[in-house]
Amino acid sequence: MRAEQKETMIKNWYKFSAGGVSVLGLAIVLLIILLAVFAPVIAPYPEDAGAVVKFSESSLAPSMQHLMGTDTMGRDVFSRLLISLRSSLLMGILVLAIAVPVGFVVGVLAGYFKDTWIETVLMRIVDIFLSVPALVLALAIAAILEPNLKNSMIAITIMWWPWYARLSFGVASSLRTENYIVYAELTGAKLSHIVFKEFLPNTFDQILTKMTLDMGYVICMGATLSFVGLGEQPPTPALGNMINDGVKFLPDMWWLAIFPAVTIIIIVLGFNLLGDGVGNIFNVEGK
Amino acid sequence: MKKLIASLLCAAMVMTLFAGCGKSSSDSSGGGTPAKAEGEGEDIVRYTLTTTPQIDPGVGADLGAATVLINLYDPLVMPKKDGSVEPWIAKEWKVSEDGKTWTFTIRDDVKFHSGNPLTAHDVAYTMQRLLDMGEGFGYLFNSAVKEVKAVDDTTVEMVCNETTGTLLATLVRLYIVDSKLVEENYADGTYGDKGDYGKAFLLENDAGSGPYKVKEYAANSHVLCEKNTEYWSELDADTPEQFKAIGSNEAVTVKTMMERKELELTDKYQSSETIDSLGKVEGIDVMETNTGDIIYLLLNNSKAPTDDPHVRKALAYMIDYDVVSKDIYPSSKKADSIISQSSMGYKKMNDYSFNIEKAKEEIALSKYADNIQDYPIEVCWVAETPAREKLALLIQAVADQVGVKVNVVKTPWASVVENSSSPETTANVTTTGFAADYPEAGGVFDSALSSKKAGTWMNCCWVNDEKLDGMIADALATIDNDERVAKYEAIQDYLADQCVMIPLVEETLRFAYQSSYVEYNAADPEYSIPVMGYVNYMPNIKVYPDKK
Repeated sequence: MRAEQKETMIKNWYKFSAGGVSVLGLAIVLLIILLAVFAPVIAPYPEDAGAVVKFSESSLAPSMQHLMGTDTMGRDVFSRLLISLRSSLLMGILVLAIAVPVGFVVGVLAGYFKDTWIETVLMRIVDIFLSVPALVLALAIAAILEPNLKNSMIAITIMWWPWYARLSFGVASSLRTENYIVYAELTGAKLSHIVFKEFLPNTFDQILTKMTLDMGYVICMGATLSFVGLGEQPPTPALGNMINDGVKFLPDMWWLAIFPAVTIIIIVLGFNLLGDGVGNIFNVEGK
Repeated sequence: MKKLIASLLCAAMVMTLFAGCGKSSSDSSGGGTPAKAEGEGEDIVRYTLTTTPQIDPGVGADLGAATVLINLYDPLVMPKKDGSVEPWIAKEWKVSEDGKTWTFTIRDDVKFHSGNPLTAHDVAYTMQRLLDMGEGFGYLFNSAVKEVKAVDDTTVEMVCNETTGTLLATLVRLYIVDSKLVEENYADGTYGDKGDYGKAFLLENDAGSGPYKVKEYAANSHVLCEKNTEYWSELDADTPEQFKAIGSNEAVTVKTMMERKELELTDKYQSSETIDSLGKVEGIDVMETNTGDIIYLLLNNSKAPTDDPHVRKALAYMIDYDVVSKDIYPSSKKADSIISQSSMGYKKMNDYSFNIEKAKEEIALSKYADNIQDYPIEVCWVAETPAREKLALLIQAVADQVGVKVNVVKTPWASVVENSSSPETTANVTTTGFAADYPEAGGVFDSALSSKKAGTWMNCCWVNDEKLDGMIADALATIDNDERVAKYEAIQDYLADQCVMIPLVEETLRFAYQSSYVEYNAADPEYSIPVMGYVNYMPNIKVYPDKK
């Protein structure tokens, strides 16, 4: 068995690393996670992520003392960037942790009960959510709620789950006539068994691939909300609000906007490449 | 490799998204980036504002509105550099013995932009319109003026409720409208037989006699005005043929436009970094001037926890005034009264200094000593004024050390104005700045503290103190200058220990301007008029397009 497992792992790694770039994606993602986890230790000025102003050190260009310079309040951009990675990753993880199960259950139920009123009700609700442009919906929800990280997560979760419902619905409606589902029904299996023991393993590959790809997009969406002031509130740093603060001072103080923007690019790139590699393992096409 | 390229393209799109977001406001500013700079070689002065101004003299009352109104309309009397007034549309005036009836003799050689002659009837109509509508600068006259009537074509009489010492000073804000033109343009509205009182018409058109007239009004973008070639008073040949007030002051756009010579003057809300950076560009200089503007923290005296004077005093001790006057508002000096030193009636009030220990002591004395953490203090800063974000964050940083929770809230100007209408929606602390509407202490007391006029962006401290109201009314009713000054000083003594609002610095306004082809006398301390808006008074600005 062990040899088999080992063989599968080697095979999967071979598939994953086939293009080479997926390994780069994995490295980027691991690096980002490590930086986020150890941010308070790595950051040279961790206190700069809080309520601090040091006007005597304001607007300094990148140097050995301040690797990414300082902002107009004298806070170290590198430290704030590292700390902001935590909320960005947290957002990606929590949003998907809620959106995926909800979307999966709704989608599988609708797929399983295809051509019944259950499918009509569930999928029309999904359609309603999908008919509104995602960013507009998130902005509207976040604007109604008090602007903070938690509410921006809620806003993104509300706009994100229907995509998983769509995906699961597609898979479930094609699998529902498969023999193993029919046998499960005939042997009197409960609905929960059919959903979680029969459908889940068979949609897992597609969902996992999509989740990996989506991490980058969720973080990007979170940054967008934060950019317009609907995410983390000052003085807590977030990639979006750091860019927003920085664009006012372009091009002279380029380091204020460019470093957070490049960080977003790297995060999205990393998760995209990783997602493609994961897709290769399961032979699932990326988005 | 294909995937890598695809991912990079995707990332580039993200960058574009942010770049797009960053520039969205500039697009609406009317700035744009046309291939050929708009107005190149043209005789025009363009300046920025936080929003497109309201150009109805019965509605607009903020800085943006003032900068345009002073150019479109003639006031009854004109403010002078020394803070006094001089005859303008009113050639002369006299006051009755009881000090209640003012009689003005009006010039007979002034014509409106429509060609209609300006008469005493127009003056009376303008005042009545302000009193009936109760908006804009109407608050200056609402409680003072009882009745206004035109005796004949050149004589107008204003009867006050009580003896009013400051009437003349406030009349610099009476912008005379063409009554015939406005009456011809009444639409349906809530003012009985006056319909909408011409509000819809005056939203986008002018009915004035001033040195400039509206050429184009683009909502949410700009107001373009052209010189009134038939202006009754002399205009220097080098004054601009046109001026454009742009309703957006996003820093990057302002910088780009200045560098491309698509903008002649910046607004006073640009951060010191932006002004310093522009000052280094060839052909651009920085003009520093003081027009009596003070940066204040307006405290909501009716909302927990700032309803407790000890919490308010604690806030006053939490401010590092040196940092504010050096790093946030460079070249400014600490304010030691809510009245500017350049205003008549100034007296030094409590001299708060940065002292964390005293702040803690004051919190301990307050009724919120045990649960101050349950009452976060909301500090609102106007989104269009980046310097005030620094101020808010400075307060937040110090409050953290004192053990007080401060929430910094970025609020667009329009929302600040809207939120100021009730004590429930007004933030605990609103960072703002203004100069008196007329250069004496009464201007600030009446506009910012009188409870009768509460609910405006200037008057949102919600003090509700009858004694204070009485003292203000009494001071304003005093005709004798020395007596009035003594009463103004008494008000400052009375307020000294209450800390109803916190004056931070006497702001030195800093404007970047195109010194290579613009002569900016309007903001030059040697010539500037210390009344809000006059730094954009076009007759005091000269432009030389051939030097561009």
